[in-house]
Formats: sequence, structure tokens, C-alpha cells
Amino acid sequence: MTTRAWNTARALRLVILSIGALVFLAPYVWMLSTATKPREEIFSSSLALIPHQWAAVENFSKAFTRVPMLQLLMNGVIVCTIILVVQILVALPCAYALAKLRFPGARALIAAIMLGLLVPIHATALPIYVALSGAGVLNTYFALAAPFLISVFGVFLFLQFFRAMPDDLINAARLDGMSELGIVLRVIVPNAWPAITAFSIFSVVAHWNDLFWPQIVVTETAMAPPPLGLIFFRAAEAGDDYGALMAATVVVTMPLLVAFLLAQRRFIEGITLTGLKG
Amino acid sequence: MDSIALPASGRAGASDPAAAARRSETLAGWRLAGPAVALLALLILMPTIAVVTLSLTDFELGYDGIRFVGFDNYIELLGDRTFLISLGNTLTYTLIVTPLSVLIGLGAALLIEAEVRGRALFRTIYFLPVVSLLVAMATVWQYLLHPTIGPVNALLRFIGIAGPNWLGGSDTVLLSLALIGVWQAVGFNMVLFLAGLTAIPRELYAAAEVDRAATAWDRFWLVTWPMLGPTTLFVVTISVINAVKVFETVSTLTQGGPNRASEVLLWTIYQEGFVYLRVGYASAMTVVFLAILMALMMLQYRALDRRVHYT
Amino acid sequence: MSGLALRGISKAYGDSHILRDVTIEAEPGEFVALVGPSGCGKTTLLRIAAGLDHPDHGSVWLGERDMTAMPPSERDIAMVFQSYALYPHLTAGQNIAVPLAMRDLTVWQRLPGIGSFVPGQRKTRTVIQSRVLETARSLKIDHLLGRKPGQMSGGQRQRVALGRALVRSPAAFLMDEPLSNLDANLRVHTRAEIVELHRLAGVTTLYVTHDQAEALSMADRVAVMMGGRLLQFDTPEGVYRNPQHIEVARFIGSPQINLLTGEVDAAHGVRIGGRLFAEGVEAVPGSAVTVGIRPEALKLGGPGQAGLGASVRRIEFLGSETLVFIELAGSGGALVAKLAPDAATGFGQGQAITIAAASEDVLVFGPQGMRQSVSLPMRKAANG
Repeated sequence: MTTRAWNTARALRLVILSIGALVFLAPYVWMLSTATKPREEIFSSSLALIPHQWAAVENFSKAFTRVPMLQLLMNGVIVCTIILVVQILVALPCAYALAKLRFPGARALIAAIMLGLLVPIHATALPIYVALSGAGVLNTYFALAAPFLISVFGVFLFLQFFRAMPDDLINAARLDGMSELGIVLRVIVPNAWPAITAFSIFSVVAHWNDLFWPQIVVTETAMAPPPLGLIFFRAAEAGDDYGALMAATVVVTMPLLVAFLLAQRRFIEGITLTGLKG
Repeated sequence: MDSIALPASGRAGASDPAAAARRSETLAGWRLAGPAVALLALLILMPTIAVVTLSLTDFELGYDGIRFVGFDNYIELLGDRTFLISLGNTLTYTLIVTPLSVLIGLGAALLIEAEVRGRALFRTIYFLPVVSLLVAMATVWQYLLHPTIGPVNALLRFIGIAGPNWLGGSDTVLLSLALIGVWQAVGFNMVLFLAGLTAIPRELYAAAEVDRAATAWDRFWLVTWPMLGPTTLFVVTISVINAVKVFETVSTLTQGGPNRASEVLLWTIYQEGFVYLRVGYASAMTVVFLAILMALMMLQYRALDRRVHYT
Repeated sequence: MSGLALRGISKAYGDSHILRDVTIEAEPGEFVALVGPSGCGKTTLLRIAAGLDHPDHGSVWLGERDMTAMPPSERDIAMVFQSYALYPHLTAGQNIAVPLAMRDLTVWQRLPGIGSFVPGQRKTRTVIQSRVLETARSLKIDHLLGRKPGQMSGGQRQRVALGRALVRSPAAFLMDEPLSNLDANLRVHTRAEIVELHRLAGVTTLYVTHDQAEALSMADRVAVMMGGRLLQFDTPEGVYRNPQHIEVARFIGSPQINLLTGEVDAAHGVRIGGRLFAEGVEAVPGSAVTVGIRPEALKLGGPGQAGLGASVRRIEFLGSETLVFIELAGSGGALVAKLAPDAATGFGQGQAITIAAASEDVLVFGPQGMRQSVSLPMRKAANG
């Protein structure tokens, strides 16, 4: 191959990648642009990105006052934290027991876990909703977190990870005088950080973005996580004050996006790992 | 157990150390797995059984009384126009999103893998939609696709084309939702393909070149495509599964409209079960939905199985 | 100091019997090597001693204590694993400190952060630190204490694993092929060091290895195991010179013992292919026996001398010794002799020779592989 041909191929590649990148970035660019534009400029439908008249302050203050935006973000953080902490506390010991202990019922339990992987929230939502509604706990953090307190996927992922850990490490810990719970806390957890990180990213991305379940159990703005809050905001704004809407969009999208940009490698590794295992 | 059966060891049975160790290991095992077992039963096993049971009843939330109606709900589904439209739309949506998101994901992965400079930057950009709040980004797309003030139609006008009412027209709404779906799914597929590509041994490419596969095109068909086979199969099934679960964009942008043109499975179930509260009937829909998903996921397991054989 | 006894141990997984009625009693302070080919059950036996596995029958004793039902953590036994099993997230120093922290600190004192506010914690920590340092010095790894296992070489990791076992002065040591992951040079060197450490600490030790040379050179007594059975438990010299079973003879010694089919006549003469090979051998008369002669016990002579006719096939010069590979005339049986280099100078390839052996060097095994030995009080008289 000649250098010239190589250059043409490479130029073509870069052009295609760049056009693609523009398409992928376009929504973000317009989101930021529109969030800074006043109403008239938005409706003049020009392709200009920089507003003649800045309306960022106005748009963002609307985003924060028409709905309790900070409350929404806080709801999201609280619910995601509850879900993640309980998921890990439940899944880690279970996965350790299944990977490293021999006890009757373990195989059946693994089979149940594998079957559980096939059942999404959409399938169990109705009965759980009926139960929560009957218990009168709709519109609570508990209702938002309840169906996700166990992640069979988490158990499965940790199980795979622990199986790869050497048995002798656990035997050594037993000879050193550790209890089974001690082994989980002192040997397994410190060595399972890659799996725990990957799972955490997977879990937070999934539940921060989830709309289906919150839309079912929450009707009050005060309890809504960000996606549902945004829906309420649109309803309140009749959906056509795009400046304020885009400002709100920026606010709810930013936390995870910033986290991603700060820890890209971990995010992509985590999503790839969980994607391939799931 | 076998040693207890022997009469000679019956005397030692009470203090049989092997049995005692097994007992304590069993106890530890169940103690550690206990919370997971309880939650698994409570949140997955029982609700799944419940949804199947409810699908055989006429249960409606808010009304007293529940009656066993056999397969009446399923028979009603067969004649329910909304449900059939919903099935059809979900199928159409899936048939658009899956091939496009897989092919674009593969293309992006191949181009990025081949390019030394800016690799991380491109990867980040294409991956952004995966970690962005879909509801929020759907709202942005709604603005971009707005028939009069949206930049997409403004751009089309600029080159002399009258753009359609993307999300408002019953002919274009499903396509528009599918394009948003593609935009959102490409990054995920891309990183899976990138992982698959890095797993291909470099020597294979060297061997291919020695074996006179001179062009990149030849090498792709000789090495890359077959070696990526398991990854591709896996990406396709996972894309299909995710497409079948489309809900956020429909709920945010179209609510199944206009004129049921964007009615999809989960949206229909959501409406029947959680808005009209016809739990029994919605349960029957859920069982159908679950059956479809299970069939797809079984395919995915088999794809995973084949992965293992390749590596 | 207490001895370690495994009495009547049997263990089976389903139909496969891993151990059959094995009894090994190590005296207080004794170094016992368990040796055998892979799959002979030696590692399972060690794990039973540790409490990581449990016997179907039999008992484990440490001195006067019956430990059979005790969990590993209560046995006061330390183990060095083949893979070293160091905690990857802890430094060498922290790894060595773990057994002491587990034994000497309470649950509350061990809590990260909070633990340092619990009374007595600091004092105990200081004691542990000095103990760790002392142990590390004795192993010459005190400069490595801050490193994690991933930053150390195989030999260094092996020492840290030894340190973790040594630090708490246990009642007994168990070692599972601790040298098998080291390269040849380091292995020989570390072998000597472990023996020296054992001499200083004087702790009863069970040492599992598949390498017979390691077992012979290190142990006070060697237990040779095969197919889940204990074939012989004796001093290194005993298993080498006086094997009670043909498999022991075959397994111990390098190059392998020479084995020939033959018979013992009524006058206690050993015959190979009908020709007299050695007289006055302490063996029961009988046919179809297997005759074993160690390579260094073979005596080579020129043609016409007493013994079996043979020829030299090949000579290997190894520096400190020379191996002569021999083919028996007639039967074509192959043997190997080990000679001092000087003694081998007279021989060349293809040369016709005779081979013989002193009667006390000839080992006779019966058809079942058991040693056929009988005392011959009259032998001296008969010879004289």
C-alpha cells in the first residue's frame, strides 16, 4: 500500500467519524443553545446557535422555580443511593455463598437467579403496584426503590467475578481465623472493587434514567425523580416554552454526564463489562 | 449422607465431623444468601406467578370482587385492535432500530479502532447518549424535530425541502421515534463491538496479510467478521430486547399518538394497567410481553454460549 | 510442643475414594513429608489436617486435643499454600499481621477507623507490629513490608506467605508444595532455608510435595502415598534403602530403580533369566518376582566375570557422576547404572560387560508388589 492511499483512506475515515460526531453532538449543542435563547428567537426558527439576546438567566431561573428542581435532583440521588446500597449489601454475600460455599439448595438458587434475569420490571410491575397501593405507600421513596432492592443481575455479575477468585485465598482467611462474614468484608469486598464499580455505574445509570416505574408509583411532584419531574415540568409549561424546558433538561442531564466525562474509562469499561455479562 | 447409612459409623454419626462441617457450611451459606433469597421470592418470583394468575381473572383495581375467567383475557386480546396495532408498531420499531443501531455501531467501532488519533474523543462523543437522561434528550429531539421551529426542518428548508411533521404525522412518527432510538443505542453497541475487536489477536491480521488478503476489505471478511460473529449475535439480540422495551420516548413525546400510530407494547400495558387499572387484562398483555422477551433472551443465552466456544 | 496425628483417615467423594484408612503420627517437632504422584490424596490429607476438608472416618489430633470437629480457625495451625494465597489488597506487612489481628484484637478493635478508639487497641497493635517486624527480619523481607503482593517477585511472595504462617508461632505447620512455583535455583536455596527455619522454631510440620528429592532432603520422616493409601512411613533412608512396596521403590530415587523379572531359588539365590545374579538374598523363595537394584548399586565388570552378560548402549556424562545405560543379553532388558566418573572411564558404547550386585542391595518384590524379605541368620555363615 502506498502512503498516498493510506492518507486518502485515513482522510475519508476522519470525515465520516466527524460527520457522525456532529450528528451525535447536535442535540447537546442545541440543548445548550436553546437554553440561552429568549422565546422570540426560538420561534424565529433560525439556525443560529448564539443568541442575539441572552436569556440564560431567565430560562434557568424558570427551570428552578416552576418545579422544585433541587428537590427532584435530591429525590434522584436518594432513590439511586438506596437502591444501590441495598442491592450491593444483598448481592455480595449471596454471590460469595453461591461461588465459594457448598450447601444444599445452592444449585437451585443459581437456577432461580438465572431465571430471574429473564424477568424485567415491566413484567412484575402490576402485582407490585397492586401490593404497594394496597399498603398505601405510593408516593414514597420506599415505593420508588422497592422493586429494585434485589438485583439478580448484580448477584450474577458478582458470582462470575468471585468464581474467578482463588479458593486458597479463602482457605487462608479461614486458617487466619476469619468468620464467613469476615471473609466477605475483609477479603472479598476489597478485591471486588472492579466488579462493584462496574455494577454501581450500571445500576445508577439505569435507575437515574428510569421513567417507567416512577411514572407508575409517583403522582406528586415532590417525590418525583428527575425524568418524571421533567414530564411534570412539560405539563406545567404546556410544553412550548422551549427555552425553560431546555434549561431544565440541561440541569437534569448534567449530573450523570459530568460524572461520565470525569470518569470515562470506568464508565465505558463498566457498561461494557455489565453489557457483556448481562 | 452415605456414611450415615453404614451401620459401623452409626455410633460416630452424632459427632461425625464431616456432617458437622457440612451443617455449619449450610448454615453459613443460607445466612449469607438469605436476604437475597427472601427478596428474590418477594419481588420477582411471587409477582411473576401473580401476574400469570391475575391474567386469568377479571381483576380491576378499585373494584371489589375478582372472578376467574380462564383464558377470556387472551381471547379478548386477539380481537383487541389497539393491542394488535401495538404489537405491529413494536415490531416495526424493532425492525428499524435493530439493524441501524447494530450496523452504525459496528461501523463506528471499526473506524474508531482503525484510527489512532482522536480515538478516545470519538468514543466519548458516540457514547454520550447512553449515559444521558433519555427523557430529557427526547425533549431535545422534540424541539429539533419540531415542524415549524425545529432546526432539522429549518435545515431542510435551507436546501429547499419541505420537512414533514416528524412526530406529529402518523406516517413519520414511528420512524422519528426509531431514529431517536438508534441515536441512543449506537454508543452502547459500539463499545461492545470495540471490546470484541480488541479481543481479536493481532497475529491473525498479520497472518491474513501474509496469506495475501491485501486490502482492508479482504481482511475484514477473512478475520474481523468471523471473529466478531459471537459479539454480533449478542449485540443483535440485546438490541432487539431493548427495542421491544421502548417506552420512555413514547411516553414523553407521543403518548401513543397520533391516532395510535406510535402505540407500543409497554405503553399499551401501562395505559391498561396503571391508567385504566384493568389489572387482569393488562396482566394478560404482560404475559404475552414476557413470553416475547423470554424467547429473545433464550436466544441471547445461546449467543453467549457460542461466545464461550470461540474464546 | 505437640505432635500431630492423623488416625484412620478415609475420605470419598461419591464412588471415588480419595483416602483409605491413612494413619500418620508426627512426633512433636518432627518434619514429615507427604510425597506421592499427583492425585494420591496427599493434599486432601493436608486439608483435612487443616480443617478445610473433613474425613468420612478417622480423627485428627494435635497433642492430646481431638481437633476432628474443630473449624480451621480454632486449630492453632498455620498453612502455606502452593499459590501463597496472599491477600492482594493488603501490603506484605498487613498480610503477615492478619493472623495476629484476628487472634488478638476484638471485633470492635478491628473495625477500620473506629477501631483505633477502642481501649487497648493501640497497645495490641504495637505488639503486633513488632512481632511482624521480627518475623520479617528473620526471613530478610523487612524491606518489603510496604509492598503489595502484585509488586513482589515469586520468591518474595513465597517468603511473605511463610511469614504469615510463622508469625503466630502455631502448634503445627502445614505446607502444600510451597516451592513448586519457584524456579529451580531458588527452590534448592529455599529448601535449605525452610529446614533451617524448622530447626529454629521446632514446630511439628507436615509438608506436601510431589518431588521425592525434596521429601528426602528435608524431612525427618517421609510418608509415601499412592492411590489414597499410605504405602510406607519411614525415614528418608528407610524409604530409599528399604522400600516395602515396589511402588515406593519406583517412586523414590532418581534415576529410577532398575526392575527385572526373575525368581528366588530355594538357596536364596536370585536368578534372572535362569542365570544366578546374586546369592544369599534375604528373600522368600518363589518364582515370578520383581528384582530391584538401585543404579548406584550395580557393579559393572569386564566380560567373563561373575554376573549377567550385558552390553553398554549409551553413556551420559553428568559431571559429578556418569550414567551407563545397559542392555541385558538375551532378554534385552534395559538398566541404568550410576558410577563415579573415574569408575566409568573404562567403558565405551557397544562394549560387552557383566553386571552384578551385592546381596544386601538386591530388593525382591512379590507378585502383588509387596517386599519379600526374610531374615537369613545363617547368611554370614553360609558365605564364610
